[in-house]
Amino acid sequence: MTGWQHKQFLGTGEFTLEFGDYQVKITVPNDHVVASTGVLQNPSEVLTTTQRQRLEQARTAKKPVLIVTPAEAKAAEKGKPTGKKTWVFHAKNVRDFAFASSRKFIWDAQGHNVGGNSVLAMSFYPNEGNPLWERYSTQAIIHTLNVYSRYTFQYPYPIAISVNGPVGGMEYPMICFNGPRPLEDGTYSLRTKYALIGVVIHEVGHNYFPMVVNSDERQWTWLDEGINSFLQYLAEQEWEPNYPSRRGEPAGIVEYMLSPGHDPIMTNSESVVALGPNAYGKPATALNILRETILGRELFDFSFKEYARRWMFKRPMPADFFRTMEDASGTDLDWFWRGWFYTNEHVDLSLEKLTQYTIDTRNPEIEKPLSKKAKEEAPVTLSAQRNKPLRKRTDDYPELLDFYNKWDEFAPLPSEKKAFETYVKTLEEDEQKLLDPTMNFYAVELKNIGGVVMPVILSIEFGDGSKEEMRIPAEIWRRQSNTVTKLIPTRKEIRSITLDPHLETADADLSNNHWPRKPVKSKFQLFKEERDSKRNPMNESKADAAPPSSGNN
Amino acid sequence: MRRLLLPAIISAVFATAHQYHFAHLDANWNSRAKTLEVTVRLHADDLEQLLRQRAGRSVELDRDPQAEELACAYTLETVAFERTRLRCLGMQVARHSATLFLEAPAEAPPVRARFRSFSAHFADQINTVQLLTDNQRTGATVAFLAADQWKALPR
Repeated sequence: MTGWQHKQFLGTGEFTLEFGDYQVKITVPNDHVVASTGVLQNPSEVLTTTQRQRLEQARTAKKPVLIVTPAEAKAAEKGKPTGKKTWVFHAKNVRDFAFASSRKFIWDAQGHNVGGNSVLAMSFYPNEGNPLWERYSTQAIIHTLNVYSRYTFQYPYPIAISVNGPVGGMEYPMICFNGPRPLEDGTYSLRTKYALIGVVIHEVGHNYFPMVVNSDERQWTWLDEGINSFLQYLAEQEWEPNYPSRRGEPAGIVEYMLSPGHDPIMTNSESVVALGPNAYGKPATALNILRETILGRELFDFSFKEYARRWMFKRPMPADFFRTMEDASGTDLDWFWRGWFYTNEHVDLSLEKLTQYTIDTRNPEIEKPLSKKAKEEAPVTLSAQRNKPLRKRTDDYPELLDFYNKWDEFAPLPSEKKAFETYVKTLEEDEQKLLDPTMNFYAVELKNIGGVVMPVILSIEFGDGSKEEMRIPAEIWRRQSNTVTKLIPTRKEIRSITLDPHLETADADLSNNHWPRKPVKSKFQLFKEERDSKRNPMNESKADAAPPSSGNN
Repeated sequence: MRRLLLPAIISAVFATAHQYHFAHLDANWNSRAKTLEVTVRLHADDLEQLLRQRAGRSVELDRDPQAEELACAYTLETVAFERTRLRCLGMQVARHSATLFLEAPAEAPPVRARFRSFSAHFADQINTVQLLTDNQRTGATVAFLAADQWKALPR
């Protein structure tokens, strides 16, 4: 597509290559185990009979089967090679080739049917990786294949491998390298556990983007890393309830979007300053918002799958992604790509003002009593209150009272009634219906402070305690992108309104999202409150450490 | 790509890790309490590696009983506001970030700040400071590059 590749490898943009078939022979010490892109062509020459039997058993197993056990790996560590072996691998239609070789490897495998394609999921790790790796690595591979294939296309390769290596996480076709390990004492923290599951999902997920949908990471990191981070979020959320995903939730990207001078997503890989939030976090969040808030899951999933399907084993550019999402969904998303991918503006919609209006029906039978009520409900001034008990001259001279002292100014006059009847005759039937005195009209004034236009999601609480959610498409900003007023006709009285009640738009300032305004506690305040409400942890530790009472054995 | 100056920290290309070095600080002047309330957000991985370097042993933020003390000490060395004596109230650790909470008596909003967390270790470190008064942002965010020392805070 771009002809000869002139871009130098500077590191950040990783790599991009064309597809090819590989036949690779790897000669290693004969006590090594080799994990590689492709299918092993000579198992009878490099594997023991037991290992081959275990591998066959693994193809139909319901959980990972050990091909090389921890004890065997430990024994191999202590031994010395007695010669060399050559492992032969064949890989079809891949854009790169990678392998790992070690005598320390434990090897587990499990066959899995991914939409009709039999895939062997395998993990290679040293004893130092356990107990974390034996529990999670191969499980995470299979989970990734299931979830990613559902959202894209059937996994096209026969092998998927995760290797514990010295890098945090790095992907190649069919094989990836992942870093997290337990501590030397065999325990691991919560962060390490989720780091391993997350990185295996992410790196195995790269088989789809960019190993099959072959975008150019040297030019556009986000086109594979961002899309992959988005799918990683979806896969993580199907791993266990409340999985602590790093990227995807809108609130998580606010800090980056507020940072001064950050790069738009549509920036060349080598020029991006903060690649993590720029090329991974922000596009993942944007796609999550596009799915949940803009298009809805059904339409988004169809369109996204169509993009993945159309561009399998081809080289898409950003415009191909934007165009496919638009034509498959039948939705003009130009405004969304512009705000989220081409600018460094942020989201901050503000609920500025709420004004209540009622209809002037012009009907004296309705309007005059209303005026009377308003007058009666008007506050009585202090002087008027104090003057009320004073004896008046008209008390002594009632003859001073005339028509106007007895006249009810709020009683409809015949002329007024007649004028109204004449007026009604000039109206169409539909127009007459609008003269409903029980109707309230609320004008909600909204301001776009951050710059990125977004749908307006309002949670409205009424005086009777009922609630209603109103989802107004982003097109409300079409003619005026700075301020806009939404008219809400309702028979009920509005008690309060919350903008973005489900935190789905990455709104950077929640303090202006309420009418009437609500104070929003800062992180600092919440921390202090939580700290002050805690029991003394030192005392708690002592209580925990106290010996059980004598009656309990 | 990580650009590391600390020899003890292994450099690697991470296709999933945060290939950037960024920290953020909110400095809120509480006009009623006359205090400066500072919230510093650091990358948990970076902080863990740095504390390991300083302590000469592994420090897991969410498990080590001394992690908070060590993190507070480091943060107080690298975060400062002119004519203000900060004290560290504690730390909260999430999966990927550590948030430090600092406080100081302050009769007025600070005029100048210094925010050099990780700046001596990562050439591409970018730290940002947002000044607030009673939790309302005042002025633009100030960015500190690795070489920056004291900078004025716009109001």
